Amino acid sequence: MSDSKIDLDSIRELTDLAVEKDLSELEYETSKQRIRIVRQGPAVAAAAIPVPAAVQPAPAAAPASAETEAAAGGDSASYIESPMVGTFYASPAPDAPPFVQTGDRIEKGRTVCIVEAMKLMNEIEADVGGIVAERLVENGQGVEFGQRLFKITPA
Amino acid sequence: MSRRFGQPAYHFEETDTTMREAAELARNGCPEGAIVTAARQTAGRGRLGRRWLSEPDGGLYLSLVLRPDVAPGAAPLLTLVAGLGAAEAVRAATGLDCDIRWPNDIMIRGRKCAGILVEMETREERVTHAVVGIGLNLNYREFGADLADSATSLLLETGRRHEADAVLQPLLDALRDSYEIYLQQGKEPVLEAFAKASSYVSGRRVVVTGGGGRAADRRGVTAGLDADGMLLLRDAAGRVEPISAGSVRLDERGRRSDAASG
Repeated sequence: MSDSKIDLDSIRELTDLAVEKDLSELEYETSKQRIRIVRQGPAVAAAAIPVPAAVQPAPAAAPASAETEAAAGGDSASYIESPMVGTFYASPAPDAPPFVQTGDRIEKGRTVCIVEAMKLMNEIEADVGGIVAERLVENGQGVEFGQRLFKITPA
Repeated sequence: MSRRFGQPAYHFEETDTTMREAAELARNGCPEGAIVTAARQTAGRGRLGRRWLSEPDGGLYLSLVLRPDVAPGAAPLLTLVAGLGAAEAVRAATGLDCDIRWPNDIMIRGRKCAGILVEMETREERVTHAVVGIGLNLNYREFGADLADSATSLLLETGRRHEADAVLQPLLDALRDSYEIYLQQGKEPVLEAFAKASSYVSGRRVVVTGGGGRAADRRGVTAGLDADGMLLLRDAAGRVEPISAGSVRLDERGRRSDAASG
């Protein structure tokens, strides 16, 4: 990253500011670059999610975008995302074991969790197979549309 | 869509849960409107692993397969659609006024006579099927201590028996009418109809248990529905937040003050 044109210190400061002030979106522009910080989910969840703030270079900073994506984890891992706003459950019932555990090898189509909205229970299936590398939300936590639920790495 | 709900129909004298049977039918490609009923369920399902009392002759236990061509985010409204249909059917069967406790408990005189649960599966950001489960208490004469204060049956409310066979088709027709409005006219008429049919939508002092990652109960006054049908709750500080999941109950403190003022 030594040849990066991205001002990481600025991004860190802006991210801290966004979290501190509980801002959902923050844009900062100079003559050379524009940085936009977008936060997803409630502030309480930020601590539990490894990537609380997605750093999205705006079009003005296009030359830097490829590197930024790589830095944000653009490797071969994929993510299972929530298809709707709701509440996340790792298991089918409070006293039942979770659908999947970290380290499990899963096939595409395997049920990995439930997202509930208004007594509609949506069983979420893995859209890829692989290893469950990480669960990114707490049981019972509210989730947003598109929020990452699990990180899946290739088997 | 002029097809009636209830074709094909599968009836079991006994099964673990009609929800599982219906989901299997749906995965095997059954048409929309297919139903599974049972005289008795050995493991009737409520929300999140809770049991639904399913004694023979006690109730109607129904699962209905729907295939709405919508994105998953638009599907939770189905639970309001089902609540509206079920309330209409209970009203028609009993001649009694009934209320809907958000999102879809059917209440008579403050007690629950029917519960609804929807289980959905999706693929590539479309709904493949949704199974609407309805448990309607018909002929229970009494409930165990855990339900005595909160549950009721049509028999207890009307003083006469209600046969599952007689109630089933009117219920399916009411569900279809409600569903057709949702498919053809979108969510606004559903939200409007729900706000009229449910006293819980605004101005009720309630406590919400569970859901949304909150360990503590949330208390407040209901303040309408948001555009997706979620219940808005205004807390003591005036902050309004949507409720996506959790059990909504009247706040006992509120009930006492209602009684005092009325």
